[in-house]
Amino acid sequence: MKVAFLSDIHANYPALVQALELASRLGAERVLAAGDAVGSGPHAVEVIRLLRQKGVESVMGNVDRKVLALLEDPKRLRKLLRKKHSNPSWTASLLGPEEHAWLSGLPFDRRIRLGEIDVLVTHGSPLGDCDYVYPSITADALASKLGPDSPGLFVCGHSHVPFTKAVSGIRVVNCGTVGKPVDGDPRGSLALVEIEGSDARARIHRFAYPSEGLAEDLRKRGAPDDRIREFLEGRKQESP
Amino acid sequence: MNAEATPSGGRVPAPGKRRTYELPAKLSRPALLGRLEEAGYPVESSGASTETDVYFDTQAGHLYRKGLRLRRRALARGHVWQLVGAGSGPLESLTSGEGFPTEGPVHDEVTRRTKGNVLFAFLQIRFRQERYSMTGPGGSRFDLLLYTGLRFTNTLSGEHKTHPPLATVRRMKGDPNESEYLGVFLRDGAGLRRVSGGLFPTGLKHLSIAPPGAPLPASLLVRGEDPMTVAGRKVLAQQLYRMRANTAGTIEDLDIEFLHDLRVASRRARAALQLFRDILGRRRCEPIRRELKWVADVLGGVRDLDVFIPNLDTRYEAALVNPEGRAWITGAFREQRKKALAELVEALQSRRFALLLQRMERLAESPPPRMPRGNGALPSHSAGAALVEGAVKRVLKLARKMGDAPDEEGLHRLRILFKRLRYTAEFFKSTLDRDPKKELALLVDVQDCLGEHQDAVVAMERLSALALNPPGGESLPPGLLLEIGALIQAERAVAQQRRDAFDGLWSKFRKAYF
Repeated sequence: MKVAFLSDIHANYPALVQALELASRLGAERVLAAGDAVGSGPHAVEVIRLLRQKGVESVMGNVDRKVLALLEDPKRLRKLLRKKHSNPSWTASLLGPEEHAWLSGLPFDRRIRLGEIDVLVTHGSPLGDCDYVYPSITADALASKLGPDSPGLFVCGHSHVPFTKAVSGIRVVNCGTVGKPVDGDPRGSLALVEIEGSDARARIHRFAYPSEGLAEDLRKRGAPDDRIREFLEGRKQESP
Repeated sequence: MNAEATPSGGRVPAPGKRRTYELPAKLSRPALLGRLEEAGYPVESSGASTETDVYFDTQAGHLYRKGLRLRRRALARGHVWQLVGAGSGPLESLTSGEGFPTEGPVHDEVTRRTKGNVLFAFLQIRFRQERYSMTGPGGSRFDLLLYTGLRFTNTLSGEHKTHPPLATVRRMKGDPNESEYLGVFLRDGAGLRRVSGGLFPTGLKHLSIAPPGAPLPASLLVRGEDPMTVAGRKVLAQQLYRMRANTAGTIEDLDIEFLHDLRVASRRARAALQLFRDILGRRRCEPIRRELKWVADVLGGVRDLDVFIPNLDTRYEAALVNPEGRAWITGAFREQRKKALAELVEALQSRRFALLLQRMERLAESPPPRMPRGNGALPSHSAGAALVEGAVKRVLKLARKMGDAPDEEGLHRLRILFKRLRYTAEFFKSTLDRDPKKELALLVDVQDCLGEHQDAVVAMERLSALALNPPGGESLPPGLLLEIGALIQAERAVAQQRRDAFDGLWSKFRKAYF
């Protein structure tokens, strides 16, 4: 059984389209997303609609949570929109009732069974959606994050740094990011996990996507040049 | 946002603008409809038809320049003429034949806007149109038109090309953001390419036809920061663009303004090659200039008659020429024009002319040198201003030297220098802070006066030549000779009048400047 895991789409629709096409080409039977569907990019509505349409099972990311909090506090949202045009408030202002309902229905994590393997999907870690899991993670650190009820396969995102590694018998997969890479490679990433019985083999796949439209939409929606370069170059821009 | 008030006082967004997309080769029409359905845009067909539209405008693009399109669509019962863009909806008039309506809203509005200039067909578009309506996931309603079997024909040259299917989408009802969402899906989800404008601009672009009036594309405008090596190439490309835009209309003799604009562009191209010769390379410029001189001569043969023949009408009145004489004289000059036009058409359809345009294109598109010589690396804002200033100084220096009673040769040289100044100022117009023509307004009057004097002198020569060498070689009856003599007298009076006016203007000019 092949399952594709995505994360950190960050409202980048063309990247999500490519990710789903790649997952389908690789033979994935199921697609799960580890949070941060929205924020930063210009296509929040389009991304949520596509995730819903394709039946992608998702969890909530830290940015999704921020946007949802604004949606649930319209007074604060209006105030923020008047004061400054931050990305979460702008994103929240776009979302309609259906997108709002989808966001508010997202769980913090998903615990599922694939074959004989117990799988935990969360955005950061069980410690919180802002917690990071990097390739340097040690057995002790992992144990302290997962606690006593550790899964056989742990899938996360948030750091935007994709990797897969086995730590103390647990397969750890960070899907990286579909829409906003930070490692200097502008291609998106996804993880494909092949499960046979109790064996889980994971591989990170990188994919290119047409980014001209994304840049055009970011510009059209008033994104600063730094943000546009971040998307196009796949790296964080240093503050002057 | 465009909006209209609802009875309850709320605001309902007005329908959006129509957006045009090109379908990729790998995406069939049914596949597109399937993808739309899958993305949450169920489509419902509301009919299909096969149409032929012909778009009309004037040589100067009176309609296009104002964002208007005049099209004629063939119907089973006749033709419908539509003027699109003049208000909320298109103006329409029905005609039984293909001719332009002689009355009605389209006739009135088009006549008012084109000021009676000649209208002719620019582009013909044949297509099958399928109409759909669809509702988006957010509840917005869209109107989708699919154009297949597209064939664009350049009605001036007869060239035609097929085109991949196009789709146009317009939000009819609902949140304006929904147009953006659908646009993102069509572009990134279905792989459609957004194209600017509708069928008409797409057709013009596909056939590489300049729009009516040949407005310069932004890419050809000289910007202040362009180095002179780039500016020279752009100025040459501008003239080439205008020459190409006016060639087919000149060959078809649709409107004398095509010929005039072709001549002006070829003259300016010569002036540009002279002005930028050191920057573009003398060895490349000189052969092109020689060929442009040949083109200017054949064009001049017809253009002079285009100016002369309409002038005859006022001279007939002044000289009291009888109707038979008028008909014969006008007929003789029309015959001369016919011959000159035949020579011109042959020249414009020749390999020599095609090669000339190719050479101009190669030079205009050649990459600028990395290490330019002379002032080639200077920005055109400063270098252009210096060139214009130099040209102004040369004009004024000669004018000062000519004194109170200028001779014919001096005036001829002054005309040449002034023309160079005009062209130089024109080339750098987009980079200059001010237009030097304002400074030299009096000299413009002097130049116009000299031009009219020259026209009268040429007219006298032309009339004398007709009297001495009539068509057919037979001598003319005395009555007709007298009529021609009277016309020469009328031209002489005009020449004298212009000469008198010139003396006054010249002394006014000298007083103002020296």
